[in-house]
Amino acid sequence: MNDVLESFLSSRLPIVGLVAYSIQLPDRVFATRCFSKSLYPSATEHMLTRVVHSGQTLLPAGKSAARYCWIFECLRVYVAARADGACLALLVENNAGVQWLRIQETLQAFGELPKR
Amino acid sequence: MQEEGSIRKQFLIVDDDTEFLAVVAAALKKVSKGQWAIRTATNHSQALEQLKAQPVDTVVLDVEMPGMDGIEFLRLLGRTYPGQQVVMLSGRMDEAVRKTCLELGATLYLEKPIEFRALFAALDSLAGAAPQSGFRGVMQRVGLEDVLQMECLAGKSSLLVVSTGNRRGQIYICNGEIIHAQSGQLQGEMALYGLLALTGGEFTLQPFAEPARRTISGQYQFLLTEAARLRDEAGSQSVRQPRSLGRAGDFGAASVETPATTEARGVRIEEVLLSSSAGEVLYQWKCESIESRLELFKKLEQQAMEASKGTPSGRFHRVSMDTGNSCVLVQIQPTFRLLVRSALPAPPPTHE
Repeated sequence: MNDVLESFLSSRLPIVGLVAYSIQLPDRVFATRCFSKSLYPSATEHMLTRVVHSGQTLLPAGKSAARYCWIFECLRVYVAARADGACLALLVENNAGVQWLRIQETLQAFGELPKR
Repeated sequence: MQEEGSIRKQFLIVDDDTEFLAVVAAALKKVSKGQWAIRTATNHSQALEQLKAQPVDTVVLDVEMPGMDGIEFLRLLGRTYPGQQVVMLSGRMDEAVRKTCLELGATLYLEKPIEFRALFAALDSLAGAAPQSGFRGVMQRVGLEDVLQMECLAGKSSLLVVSTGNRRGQIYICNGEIIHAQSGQLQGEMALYGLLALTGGEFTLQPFAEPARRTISGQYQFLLTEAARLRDEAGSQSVRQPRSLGRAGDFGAASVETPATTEARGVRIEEVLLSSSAGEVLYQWKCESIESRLELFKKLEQQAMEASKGTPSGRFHRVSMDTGNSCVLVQIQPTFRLLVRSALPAPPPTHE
């Protein structure tokens, strides 16, 4: 799974408007990358980790795969949570130039990756 | 008839198409009842000479020009005449080009061919014409979003009345902020997004009138971006499977669907709770545990605030969860909290 995850995003980046991502496994944060110089990497990782956890805790999807979308005034976080517990969180700018379709396709593809 | 001595506005139209220049100059002079002075240039050096000789209120610049293209010339104008108002005209609506032009300081990006009255309406507004008398535009030519953005950027107060064959709506702008929208039964952001999703029709810009109540509080940049995103997603969605998990897990998109399409997808609302920010229940439907839902509002708001510490996220608006079979939306607004839970029927069994 690790190799699959590592090669998964590298084949899909860059995506216009994507400022950070985080891949989280049930027991740990697998990888976080921040592309924007206007964001603090530690604050960004904290935000993505917290959002993933809060979504699953407060709006649980049971054993189903689920999509979460957190919308803030200037940023939004898309989360694809797989049934096996792996999650991909994408931090995206709020502007008209964002490649929304590629964001959705990436979330979709993450959900379809082979099981761990 | 206007007096020749009345205040004239100066425009310079730059285009390599001499026929277009002649026609548009004559039409604008006529529509402006002689109030506008229209000068023309067929290339950039002519345009620079004209500007050097006499400044103008607005330059109307064709993007596709031989030699130096309009974007390069726009860049040059920005350096040579900072603050010069420029409207770009283009034969193709390319979002990347449009964005570049606006980033380089163009006030407006319009698509050719353009109806003269629509061009007049846009230029008239830019040149600071008194809006009290109102004007009309055609959305297929001058985008509704462009007009909204212009009004907001200028910090104006106005009422934008939008109409199509079977739909009519109003967008209220007060001191450069969108404060209310309504369209049929819809009010607030959903009405705004619905109106901005219209692909044709007419609008009239009228003097501001206070609405019965204000339903929108977000920044206009956010609202317009959200409208653009929803429109993009709706466009891409139309060529994809309707039940795919690829569907945006964001109820904003679902909420602007027409009842007919929602019904076709079989969405069933299972629970609704609307409360004030103080926790007073304003409306509930099939809500089994109001207390736990009110607690959920609090926790979500708190978690969102704590998660976004140290980032430039801005105010938290909403969160949604979508499993493909069920969806939950929680919206947190300064004055109210909303929860909607809905379900989609299970897909038909497949026979292998």
